[in-house]
Amino acid sequence: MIKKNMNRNLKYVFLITALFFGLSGCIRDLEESLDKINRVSNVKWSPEFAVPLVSSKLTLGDILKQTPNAFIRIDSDNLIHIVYRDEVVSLLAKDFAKFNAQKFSGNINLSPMQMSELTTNGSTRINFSTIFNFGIQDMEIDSVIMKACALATKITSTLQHDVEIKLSLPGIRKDGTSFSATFNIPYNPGNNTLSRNISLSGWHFDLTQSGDKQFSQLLANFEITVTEVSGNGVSASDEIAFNADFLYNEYEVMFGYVGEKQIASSIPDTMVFNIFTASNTSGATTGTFSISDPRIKVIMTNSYGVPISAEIVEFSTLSTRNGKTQLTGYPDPLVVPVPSRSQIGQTLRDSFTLNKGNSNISSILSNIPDKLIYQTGILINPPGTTERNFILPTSNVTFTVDVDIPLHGTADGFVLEQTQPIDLDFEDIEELESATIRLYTENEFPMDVGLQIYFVDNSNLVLDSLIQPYQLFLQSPVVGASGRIEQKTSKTMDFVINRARLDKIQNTDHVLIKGTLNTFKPGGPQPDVKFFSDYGIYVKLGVQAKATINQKVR
Amino acid sequence: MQKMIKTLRRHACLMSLCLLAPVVYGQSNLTLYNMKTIPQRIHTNPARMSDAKNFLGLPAISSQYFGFGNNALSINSVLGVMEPNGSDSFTMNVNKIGDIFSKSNFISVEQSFDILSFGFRIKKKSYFYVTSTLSQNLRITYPGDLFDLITDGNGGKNINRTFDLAFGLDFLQYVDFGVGFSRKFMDEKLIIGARYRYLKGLNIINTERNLLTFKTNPDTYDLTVTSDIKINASSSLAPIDSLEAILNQTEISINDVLNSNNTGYALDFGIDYKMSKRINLSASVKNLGKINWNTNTFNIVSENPGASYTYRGIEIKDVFNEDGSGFEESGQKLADTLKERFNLIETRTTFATGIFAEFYIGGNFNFSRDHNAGLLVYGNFYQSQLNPALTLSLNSKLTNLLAFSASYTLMPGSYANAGLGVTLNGGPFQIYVVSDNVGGLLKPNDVKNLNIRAGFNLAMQRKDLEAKAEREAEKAKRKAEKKAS
Repeated sequence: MIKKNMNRNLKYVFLITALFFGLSGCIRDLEESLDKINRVSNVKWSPEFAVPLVSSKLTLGDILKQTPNAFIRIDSDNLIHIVYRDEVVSLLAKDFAKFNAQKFSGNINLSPMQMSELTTNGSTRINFSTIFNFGIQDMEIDSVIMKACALATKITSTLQHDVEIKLSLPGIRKDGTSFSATFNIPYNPGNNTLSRNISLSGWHFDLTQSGDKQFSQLLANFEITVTEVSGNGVSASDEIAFNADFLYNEYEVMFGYVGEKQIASSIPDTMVFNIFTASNTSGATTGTFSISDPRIKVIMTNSYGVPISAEIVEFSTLSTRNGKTQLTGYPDPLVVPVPSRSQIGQTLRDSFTLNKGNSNISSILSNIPDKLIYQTGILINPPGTTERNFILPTSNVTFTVDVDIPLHGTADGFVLEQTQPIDLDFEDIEELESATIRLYTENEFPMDVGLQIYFVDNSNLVLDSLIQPYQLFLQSPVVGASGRIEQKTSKTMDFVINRARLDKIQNTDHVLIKGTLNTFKPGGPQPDVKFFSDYGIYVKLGVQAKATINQKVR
Repeated sequence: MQKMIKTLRRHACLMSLCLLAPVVYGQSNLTLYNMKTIPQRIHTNPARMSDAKNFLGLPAISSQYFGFGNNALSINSVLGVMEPNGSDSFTMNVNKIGDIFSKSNFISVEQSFDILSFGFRIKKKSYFYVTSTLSQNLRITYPGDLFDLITDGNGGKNINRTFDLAFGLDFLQYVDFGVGFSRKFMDEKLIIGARYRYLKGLNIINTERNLLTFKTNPDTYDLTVTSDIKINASSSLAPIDSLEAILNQTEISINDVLNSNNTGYALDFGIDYKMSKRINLSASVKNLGKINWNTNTFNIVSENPGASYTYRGIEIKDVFNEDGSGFEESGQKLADTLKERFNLIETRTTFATGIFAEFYIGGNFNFSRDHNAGLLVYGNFYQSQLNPALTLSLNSKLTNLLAFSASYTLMPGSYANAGLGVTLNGGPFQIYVVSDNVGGLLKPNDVKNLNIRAGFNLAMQRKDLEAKAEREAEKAKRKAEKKAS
């Protein structure tokens, strides 16, 4: 029995001992774990992420930055035309036919008889007329319809009696009534002046009926009544002074003769063909180019009611490779349409077009011009003309030049180069281990495009190039007999940038960007190709980058 | 009673907030399964009764169970990302963090207690018992792929990989009222038992669908996200308009239980077969049933189930516009598209849920009447996924006073689960403690699961019953030998 109890007690002793050592081990394990965690000095992380960056289908309309002066036109066959447009505008009529303020003044004195009549009868009347020379220097103004005009009057009397003045301007009429105005100046010691502004906007000024010149003259009639103020005397020095200023004088239409005048700019205009030159590049230095049917259309408009003699003074192109070339085939002189009196306010237009059949435009564009230079001469009232004129303030002559380049033709061997200074600072991406930039393209344009970027140091030593091995950036699809592409081409390119390459190009001073371009070349004769509006490039760009981050935490 | 329920509820809420969420997974009981001195083992197999002729589980204290589990994190797994970089220091290799986690990971907490239980033997072959339990389980699932994505990225080896980024949240709280019956057949070699339970659902959050995937195209690096989410919730206690409202409910009254219209049923079946004097085989299947949630329902559902969106990169025309606002507008457009595509809507439809079906298959080798070794295969199902466990145990009744079981359990991702169960009996009074993982006390660095069941029972006529059973067995044996000779 004792032995049995001892065995049982030993069991418990064993159990308690095991528990004791077990728990001791447990605490020791926890302490070691915490100690291990406390001794972490670095955190290392090497993730690799892949991200899509760009997914776009780009048509030519998206690629070309369109402006009012350079835009795309789609014709009925869906063929794309690049249109360059410029407008040459002559002087506006209001630039040279402008009324200044017309200012008139005078003094009226009482004659001895009128003074006597005043003192005898208590009143007297004075009638006085004068001519206002109303016009613009070197022009003969027959009549004017005023859009905005104000008559500013100021009448001062030194008479110590009441004065009433009626001013009549029979040449100024509106709605069948001539202009007149009455001014009352009752005697007021110390202040015998009356000022008033009268609107003449919308009134018709006939300047032909008033004097001796049959133009630019306006008759003014004054009818003055003086009523005695009892007790006040009158002397010969007493007078009535008037000022009549016609202000603003903005006309709606002016008739007469504005004189012989050159209204075109004396400086030639230029139109830059940036389809042929990329900005900041040295331009296409090699290659051939043909456009099947380019056109230049010149549209002339005129709203002057004036005889016009016009001509093209200069119409030429300038190219880096071939210098200046004169365009041929344009009419000389230019016949500018002139509106008749029944067409006042209208703008008449006419045009002419240069094409491969009537000019040298095709060969000129094949020379890859950088710019078009043009200048016109526009003479109004040329010698030998006698017609009276009419003008509106906005009257002008314009020449709109549309250079229409249908994207139908060939291009071959174009090389474009651009040098761009660059400062490569890799300090911010030192964790980058490698990156793969993946470019996937689908091309519907019938052309091959090559692109290479060279990393060059300051001694012009090429350190590296981006695309290795070199390959076309875009491959032209095959063009079928219909002129359309048979099937778009697709291409995937990977640009691998690793730490070794980054080290290699870290001394880059500048990059040389070199592009090549040609339209579809099947091997035989290069066919004309067309760029349709539904063509585009689908571009997908993604990057997969691996970084290694090793961060000290204590 | 109400106070206890309240306390229990508060515990659960606190744990939820700590994200140590309540667990279902290892509805452990793996050690308990072979502890024949404890009446509560009927929770594991309705055919396996305790050795007491009658038992009474005192209200609220007869069985308290708490379990915490996770299948990924342990101190050792965290230490596994530390690499020695010299004599005295370590480097934390972030890329190894993904290795800690499985494809699908969970953190779970389970809590339950027996409100009332009693049972008694009818004649010598049958056993009848009644149980009532309040159970609450919380399980949060999180994707291991998320850590792979963060630590390794979506490029390189992970390109073209479909990342499963689905999170899941499940919370179930219910009370059951069960009646069970078992009977011996075939000269008492075979015992068949069954239990029917009437269920009263109190609160639930049920992640019915939680598809969220992310994939990177290997050729274009396009990013594709696919989503399909449906989360159901219901409360018998009050109308709810958010999932958070469920977790914020802290008090439950008896009336809440009785008035609940979220009702259901569950069936448990079990058998125990004495193959020979040395070998016993047993099996059970539990929780076959469902709860219909009809009251105060709240659902969050994908407006476009299974919708996917592929981000292909920025559209140059949109971004590089003239006024420079393109990038911002493009971002807003993307956000609007994602919102429209993956929009979640709220509905109020009824639904039904199961209660985590489980099964046990066991075998015991009897060294003697009081000592045996057990092998137990366990499994439960969560969202159509089997979560298995394998348990080896030694079960001994050392004296009439003391019995114990020691167990060792293997679970996926968790290989150090040493369990222990102890019962102390003094007359009809019984105190017991059972845990499937006390190894954590010895090897805390490997601990992923902790659970404990403890309680106080009145277990009567244990001694008499055993002696009688032994006597009857001897008698039957002699009779058989005599007949044979």
